[in-house]
Amino acid sequence: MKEEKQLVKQCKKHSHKAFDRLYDAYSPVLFGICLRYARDASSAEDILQEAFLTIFNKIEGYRFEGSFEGWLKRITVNTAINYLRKQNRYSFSSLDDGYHEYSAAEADNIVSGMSEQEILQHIQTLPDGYRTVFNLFVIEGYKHVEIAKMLNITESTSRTQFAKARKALQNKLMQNK
Amino acid sequence: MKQFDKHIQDKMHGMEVTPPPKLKANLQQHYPKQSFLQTINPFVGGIAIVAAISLLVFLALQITNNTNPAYSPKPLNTEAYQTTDNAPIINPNTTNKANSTQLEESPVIADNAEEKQTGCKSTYCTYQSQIEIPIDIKKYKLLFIDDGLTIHTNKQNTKLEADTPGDYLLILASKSGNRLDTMMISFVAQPEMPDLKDTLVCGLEFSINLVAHPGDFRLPDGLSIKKSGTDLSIMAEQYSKYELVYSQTDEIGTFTIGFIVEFIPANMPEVEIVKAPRCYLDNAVIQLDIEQNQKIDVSLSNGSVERIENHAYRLNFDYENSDPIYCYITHYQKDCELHDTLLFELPEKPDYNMVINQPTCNQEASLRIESANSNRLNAFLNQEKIELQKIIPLNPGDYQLQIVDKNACIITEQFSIGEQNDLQADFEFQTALDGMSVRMTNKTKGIDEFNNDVQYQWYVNGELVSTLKAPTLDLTQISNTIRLHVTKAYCEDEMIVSDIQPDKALIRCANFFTPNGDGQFDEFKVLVDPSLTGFQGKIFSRAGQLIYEWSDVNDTWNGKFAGNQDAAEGVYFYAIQAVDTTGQVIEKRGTIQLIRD
Repeated sequence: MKEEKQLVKQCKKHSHKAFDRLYDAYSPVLFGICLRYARDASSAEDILQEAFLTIFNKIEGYRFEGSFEGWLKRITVNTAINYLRKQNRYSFSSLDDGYHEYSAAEADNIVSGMSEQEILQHIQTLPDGYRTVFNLFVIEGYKHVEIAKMLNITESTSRTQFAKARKALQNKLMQNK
Repeated sequence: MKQFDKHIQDKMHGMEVTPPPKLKANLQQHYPKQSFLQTINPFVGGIAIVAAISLLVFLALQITNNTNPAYSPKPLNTEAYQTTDNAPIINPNTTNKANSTQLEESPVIADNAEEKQTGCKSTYCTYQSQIEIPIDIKKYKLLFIDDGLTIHTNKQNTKLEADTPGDYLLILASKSGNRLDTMMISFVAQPEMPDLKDTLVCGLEFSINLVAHPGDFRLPDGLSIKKSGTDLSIMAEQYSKYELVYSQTDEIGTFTIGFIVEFIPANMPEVEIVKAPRCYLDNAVIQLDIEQNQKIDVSLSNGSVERIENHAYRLNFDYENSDPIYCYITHYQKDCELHDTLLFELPEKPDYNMVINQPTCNQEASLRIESANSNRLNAFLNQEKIELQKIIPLNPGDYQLQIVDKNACIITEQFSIGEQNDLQADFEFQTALDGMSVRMTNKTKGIDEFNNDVQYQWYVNGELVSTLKAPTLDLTQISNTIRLHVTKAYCEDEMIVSDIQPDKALIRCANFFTPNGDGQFDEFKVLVDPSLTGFQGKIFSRAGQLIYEWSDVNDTWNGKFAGNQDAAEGVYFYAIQAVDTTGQVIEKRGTIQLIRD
């Protein structure tokens, strides 16, 4: 904890060594987030780079309140959202609802038998809108109200998009079984 | 949350994937530059810093004029705001037509192109906890708002409020959701303000040690302010309470501190010097004109203060220190401390020096008063006038000297003249065990135990043999004369005792000797009455062998035999013969112990 504080302080002084250490320490976690939001690895890399630039520029304003990792994640998620927004990839239009309904129990079994990478691949194939809401809600743990604010959509859109995203993901997972 | 979601969350939350290495290399090229001053070697000195700052200013200007408008820290103006219809222009730049597309493309979050000394890192800076922004926030979507930042809106304006000082991020998007911008608002901690507190002033004027301009104060009627040196003097027309406001303005904002100054009348009590120090060693008395129960402190820079009665004080000066002496008077009146200082220049000591000679063996006691300006002084010894510079013989006794200077100041000195020296040599003696020496006991009078100046000289039969205080002296003859000579400073005395005989016998000798060369009992010597003749001495070993023989009464046996051989330790026999006046042979036989160590 103390080391983390020291690292942040050095980063505030724009020490390039400290930036390197910060990158080494947190890039795997943040890259994991980027991959979830991005459609593919190269977009994820773009997001990660942009997120780190933001982190480096904003770190002077970091006030040691709350968890540092949480702060980094929040910036990364925001960067990812902005990235997707810039790509004009938000299309919250509804997808075809013709998915096969699987029972929850079936889906549970499938998920527990799959690796992170496999799940990630399926998440990445979700449409951008679905994927973003799904990530924000399930993995980041934001509430629909918050997601609505962040994505400039209504709360009900967030809810429906999420439900559809979940269904779509379940379908994908089952099909790939 | 459904089971499925939970499973996904468990799996994916905290997933770590190492990004490709090229990403880091790429990122390193974009690290923010190191802070300017931190990279400068302190020994490079001021020139480099000046040059660097000039360059920085130049670059900053370039950025302002030509480059990305999102970085330009220009204040928002209404005109610019009106030209954009549906995008929240946070950092507008009216000269740049590409403004909106720029905003569309770059959601810039940090805009610290130049860092101001105030800690203001963004266009919007404030010292307050709130700042008003000229944007109707209800027209836009709020995408992101930093923790600790709250938005207050009403019909007229939008206010942002921060919990604590710091930089806060706000992301807004247009209603359509396809344009967004970020704004950073710096809530800067208040600058350090001078410690201006409510003050009670005794009198009509007080000063503040503050680097400020008189114009920084807002003064009520009846008060005036002027700069005097590094201080600011504030003067009141009458005794009253006044409320002052001090304000400090910089590029971020204005700070004000209000404080109340109450001027109350305060009068230092009158000090009457009842007695001033007129003569050397005199004290002084002062009287303070205040009421009985009022609190006051009196102290001296060098000396002691003694309260006599009421508010009268006796000042006892330390005349050893010739500096002027200050008397500090502090009067406590309500909450005010009033100070007054009296200066006392103390009279000098009359210029004289008293030389007293105590009596010695060959000199009488005397007194001499030395003075460089003798015509200004008069001296009296036991009330009789004496002349200065002259030596005055004195008898033993107590004396009082009075020096009277031109101001009729009298200095009295007491001294005593002791008795004439009474050194008297004296000793007693006791025959030592060997019968051949005497132990002396020194009974000399007129010396004290620790007097190191005393010298003793012991003579046996006219020969100096010891300088110890109480030696043991060898007797060299049947009848001896011992003389003690004592010297103390200039005094000396001596005592002589004659006819000291080791024994009444006509032939006498010791029963041991120690031939080790230490000067004590080194030889076996026989004392023979001068009336005897025909002396003969013989030494035998215990085996009966004759080992030494001599016939001169003044000779001795030194413990050697057969030329130069040392005789062994042990007992030897002696046989001494002599003839008395009647022709009869007198013989003495005995044993002698030879000791070597």
